[in-house]
Parts: sequence; C-alpha cells; structure tokens
Amino acid sequence: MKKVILMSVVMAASLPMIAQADPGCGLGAQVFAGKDGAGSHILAATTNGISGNQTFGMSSGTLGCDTSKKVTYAAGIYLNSNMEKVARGMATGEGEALNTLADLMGVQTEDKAAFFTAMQKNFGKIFKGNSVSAEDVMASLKSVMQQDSSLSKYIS
Amino acid sequence: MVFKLNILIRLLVISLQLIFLCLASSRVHALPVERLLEKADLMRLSEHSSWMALVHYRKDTFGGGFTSEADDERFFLSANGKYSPAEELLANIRTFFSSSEESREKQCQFPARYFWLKQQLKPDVVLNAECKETNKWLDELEPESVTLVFPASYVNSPSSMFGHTLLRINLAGDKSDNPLTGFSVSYAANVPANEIGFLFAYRGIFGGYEGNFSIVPYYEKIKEYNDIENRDIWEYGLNFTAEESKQVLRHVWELKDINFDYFFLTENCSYQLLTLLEIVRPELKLREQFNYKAVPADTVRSVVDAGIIVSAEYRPSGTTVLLERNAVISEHETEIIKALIETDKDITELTDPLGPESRSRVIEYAYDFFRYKSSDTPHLRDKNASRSYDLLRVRSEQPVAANWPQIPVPEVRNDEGHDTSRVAVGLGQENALEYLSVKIRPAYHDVMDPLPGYGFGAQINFLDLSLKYFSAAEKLELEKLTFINISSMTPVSRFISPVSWAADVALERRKVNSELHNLFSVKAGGGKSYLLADHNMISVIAEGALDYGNDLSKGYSLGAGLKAEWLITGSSVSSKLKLETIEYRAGEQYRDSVAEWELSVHISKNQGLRFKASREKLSELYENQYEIALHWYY
Repeated sequence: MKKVILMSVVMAASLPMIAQADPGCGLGAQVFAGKDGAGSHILAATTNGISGNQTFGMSSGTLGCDTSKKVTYAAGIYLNSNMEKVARGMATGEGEALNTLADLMGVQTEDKAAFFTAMQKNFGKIFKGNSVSAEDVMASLKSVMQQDSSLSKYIS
Repeated sequence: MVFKLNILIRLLVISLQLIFLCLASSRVHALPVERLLEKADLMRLSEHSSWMALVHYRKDTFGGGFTSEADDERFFLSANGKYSPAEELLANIRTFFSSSEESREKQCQFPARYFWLKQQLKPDVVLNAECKETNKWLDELEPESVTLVFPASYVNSPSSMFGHTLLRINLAGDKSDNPLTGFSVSYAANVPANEIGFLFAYRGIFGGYEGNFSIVPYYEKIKEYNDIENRDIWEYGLNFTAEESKQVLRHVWELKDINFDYFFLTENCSYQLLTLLEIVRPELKLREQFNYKAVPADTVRSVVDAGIIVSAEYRPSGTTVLLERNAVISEHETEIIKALIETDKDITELTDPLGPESRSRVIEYAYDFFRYKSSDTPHLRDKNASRSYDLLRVRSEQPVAANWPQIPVPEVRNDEGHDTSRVAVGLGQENALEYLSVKIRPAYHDVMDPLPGYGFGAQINFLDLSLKYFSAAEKLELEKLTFINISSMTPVSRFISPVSWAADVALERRKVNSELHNLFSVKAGGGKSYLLADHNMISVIAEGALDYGNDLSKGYSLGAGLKAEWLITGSSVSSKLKLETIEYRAGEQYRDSVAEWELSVHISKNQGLRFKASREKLSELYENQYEIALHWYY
C-alpha cells in the first residue's frame, strides 16, 4: 500500500504537461492555446488511458461551436487541431505541418512550392493575430489561394 | 384371401421403401448452412490460428482449453463463445450464412470474420448484406500498408516509463507518402478523470479497468507523444500487403466499443496489437512469447525478429530537436535568443544585425524554446501568446530558410538495446564473510546496464530480487527486494534546468544500531544534474527516507539526507561513484552513510561483468563489501 502511495506522489511530481485531448468548442480560437495543467493526465500513459473521448473519430466532425455544421473537410479538422503547428509552418514556409495541410487540401506536388511561398508571404493576412478561429484562418487561406494563379484551381 | 394379403404386404413394403427413399434424398440435399458446418468440421476450422486470433483466444495454462481475451458478451455469437472456439465458430457460420435479419446485422458487425469464413469455406451461394456504415468507414480508410509505431519511454514520467506501441494504417492513394494523413489504432484503458494515485496503480495492474481500441488521426498521436510528452518515436513499416492491411482494418471495426480488461503487466497496449497482426499472419505466434510480462520494447523486438519489418523511421521529439539544435547555435546567437525570450525588446531590432540564415535560425529557435517553456507558466498565457505571434510574424517576412542540419538518427534503436530481463550470479565479501549472490530482475534498465537503445541517466528497476548465501554460516538471506526503483537524471543545459529525481521502494536487510533488521523502505528525492562531458554527469539529490520494521524503536525510522552520484557511461565500460548519507531523526535514530563504487564491463549487448566496492557506516559500525558478478540479459 505504501509503495503505491509513493508512486502516486512520484507521478504527480513529474507530470508532463498535456493539452486536452480534444480541441473542443472554443479552443480553436486561441492559436497559442498552450498546455493546461496536469490533472487527469497523470494517468495518460501507464495505462495509456484516455478520458473517454477518442473513439472511432474520423475525418468528419464539427468545426467550432456550431454543432449543426458538420464538416467532412479533413483539412479543416486538421487545422483546428493543429493551429499552432500550422502557424509555425506558414511562418517558416516549410515543414511537415504545412505539407500535411497542403496534402489535405489536395495540392499537387508541382504546386506545393507555390503554396508554401504564398502562405509565408501572406502569414499576416491568414493569421491576423494570436486569437483567431480556425474558420477565419481557413477562409483567409482560401482567399489567398484564390488570388494565386497556380493555386486558384483548388478553390471551387 | 391370401392373394389379396400378398398384394397388401407388397404395397406396404413399396410404400415403406418410398418413404425411406424420400428421407434419404433429403439427407443428400442438405441445407447449405449444414453443409458449411460439416465442411468447417472437416477442415477443423475452429482450431485454425486465424480463427484463434480473430476471436482473441489464448490457450489456458492449465486444462488445455481456450479463453478469449475479450471481456464483452457482444463479441460472441454463442453463449459459451468466450470459452469455446468450436461453439463460437458454429454460431458464426449459422448466423452469417442464413438469410435472416440477424445475418445481415452480424455480417456488418463482423466483416473480418465473415470475409475469412467466406475465403475458407467457399460457399456456393452467398448473400452479402449491404453494410452501408461499415463499407463507408472501410472505404474512407482504404489502406495500403500498416506501420508499427513505438513512442519510446519518457523517463521523466513513471507512468510512461515503459513506452507504448500503436499501429498506423497508411492510406492508399496520393496521400500515401505523408504519414500524418494516416490513422492510428491503439488500445488503452478507460480511466475515470479523477482517479486517485494508488487506486489507479492497483486497478491498472490487476485488471480493474476496461480497455478499448480506438482509431484517431495519426497527427493527434504525434501531438500527444512527440510534442507534448516529448518522446522520440520509431516507426516500423511492416510488409503487409494492401489486402492484408484491409483485413486488419475490418477487424478493427469488429473491435469497436468491445471491452477487454486491461492489465498493465500483460494484456496492455502493446500486447493487444500483436493479435491484430496475427489475424493475417497466424504463423507468427507472437502472443505466445508474452506470458508474464509484455514490455512494449519486447513486443517490438518480437515483431522485428519475425522478419516482417521493411523500414524503421526515426521521429525525434520536440525536446530532442531543441537539444540537438542547441549544439549548433553560436554564443552570439544564444545572447540574442535569450533577449528575444526574456525581454520585450523589438524583434526586428534585435535580429537585424544578423545574416539572413542566422536570423531565421535565431527566431525559430527562440520561438520553439519559448513555446516549450511557456507550458510551465500558464498564468502568462496571453502575454506569451502575443510574443509568440510577433516572433512568427517577423519570421514570415524572411524568405531565407534556417537550414538546420538533420537531427542525427541514433545508431541503436530503442528495440535494439539489451534485453529487459536480467539475472546475475556473483561472489562477494561482507565484512570478511564470504557469500554467493544471485540477483534476478524482470525489467527494465539501470544506469550500469549497457546504454545503447536507452536514455542516459534514466533507470527503472522493477521487482529486482537480490539474494546472498553466506557460505560459513550456510545461511540464505534476502538482501533486497526492490518493488520499484526509478531515477531520472536529466542534466541542466543552457536553456533548460530540469529537476532530477529518484524514488525507491523496497524490502531490505540492514544493520541498524548493531541489529539486523528486515525493513520496508521508501526513499524519494530531487535535485539537479550537471554534465562534465559527454555521458559524464554529476547529480546532487536531497532525499527523504521512511522505513518500517517491527523491531525498530517505535516501529519506524524517518530521516533526510543528501546523495551525490558521478556517472560515466561508455561503450565498453561504465562507472558510478556514489556518496550518500541519511540521518534518521524520528523513530529509530541513527545515521547511515555510504561510499560506493561500481564498475560495469560491457562484454556484449546481453552480457556484462560488474565490480562493486562499498564502505558503509551505520551508527558507529563500518561495513565493507566487495563483489564481482556476471550479468546476463534475456
């Protein structure tokens, strides 16, 4: 018994800071949502436990708080879940996060260089501040692509 | 009269023959399902390894029967399905191949079983149900291949210490070369949000939690393990074909919401994945290798040994990237990075004097490190968010790339280190009394074990048993039974100052105030570590100790003290010098001081020779000990 009490003390003292598993409603508004306190995430990994949310989550879901708007657009879901990484990717004009966004938006290999350049050049237009919603970012992103000769074909 | 009787008898005989003939022909034209059942019986299908894997059966240790690892009645179509592969097979065949509403429902619920049975039995007539939901899901995730993913251990957190494994389904089509568009399949326990520490440990070990399989976009797992928990990840591509990958996927659908009791030591995340692989490769017999423990690294080893790996990719964690890049930036760049993070000075002004590539590097490093540090100060979130944004905005105005050098891939993978079980046999002397020592440890790694494949300064010993047989007195003593011993010594660096800590819970034999006691002992401490050179580190830890023993005065001893360790690890030899003193002030009072030196000679990956010399002062008595022991890892 005593050993396990100690274990819990030890575990509490050495927590990795983990963000909440699911972005959920409203958190998409903060680009730099940051990492919350530990709480139940002590448990996150011995049993690699999950606080129930992850099921057979798929490429569909809801973006933002309007649960009536079902989005099957994988890029939107990805963006919502990875705002900070995508922002960093756009600022540097390279990287896995930006490349994944390009893939999910269907950008072909030959147009990727143009995509990366356009995103970096227009960072300030796409991410207008540190508190923007994923929907706004997606809208601005699309309008930037619309104005680019090689990328406009991806916006229907 | 007799004549008429003859005709009557004749008619009777003919009618009887006709009746028999009818009965006989209805046997020949048996119901299709019955024929399939007969065929299955002839083929002994219920004993087939694929069937065993599909329903997660495992041979019982005693009795020769089978039990399914699923703890959910929804997983079985027969009443005794959990204990009878034969009965379950019959029920499945009957259900799938009859034309009923239930048949349609079950075909859609168990697409992998249905697919396999059709393949084995080759029925003449097949009525495939429409299965809209199942097929939509299967089509969206149309797979090309499967990858085994291994987030290495994150020693700073004991709950993550053994690592984790999951499978990644790689999608066919254009996106197939980007792993982030894949989906991960993993098994985990359902732990309620505010579970108390000791209850969590108890239930986790003894099957107190139900576990489920879940499937989420792979990028979510990257976030969780790579970024947040800062674990390096190894990705092993398997040689499964698209068809085989699809069958694995069909089975994952079958596992939706099905409960399996979770056992931390045996039926854990990494064990459960093995069943998924056995479904399409029953000859692999992976699960059989894990009876008493399933350490993730060992399950990865079994897959590698099976020869089904085609590639191994390394994905460094955020911390690893920061540490590696730290070595590349200059002193001057470091000054600017510090100013970027610690002050509010204008970013452009600070970075203007630098060349373009240097500017990009400095801003990127500052940003990455700033994000890493910000997790410790949630109350400054808004202020930090604003600064972070400004860093990115200035960076975006710079088209020149940072051109960071590639992060070096470790020469030895996390599955290629020494084996996790260890046994040692040695000779020693305790105050001139000779003894034979035997030690056995099921898991995992200590700082004197060969380092490749493990983290420097990280140690986890689990159920480490040490026995001594004193030849003169012909007495066998329990020297120490360590339930758990963890230490995480991470050195301080230019930017990060992590806490080094250690904990030890054991049953040990100690001479207290001239008497020999068997004590239940608990120790915990924290401090800092400093690198003197590569793989050469000094740690200073302040610790507290609490012992329980029947013969101790008041039954316990409570104290505090200090420990200093100097660790040097090398490819052929490792050395550790320890100085420790604990002053017990409450209960049984005494002081325990020790100076100990250990030298480990790494003969091979799985063999070593260890020398130990120690001088311990317990109250006023001195105890000298010397030992030499041969270590084997298996």
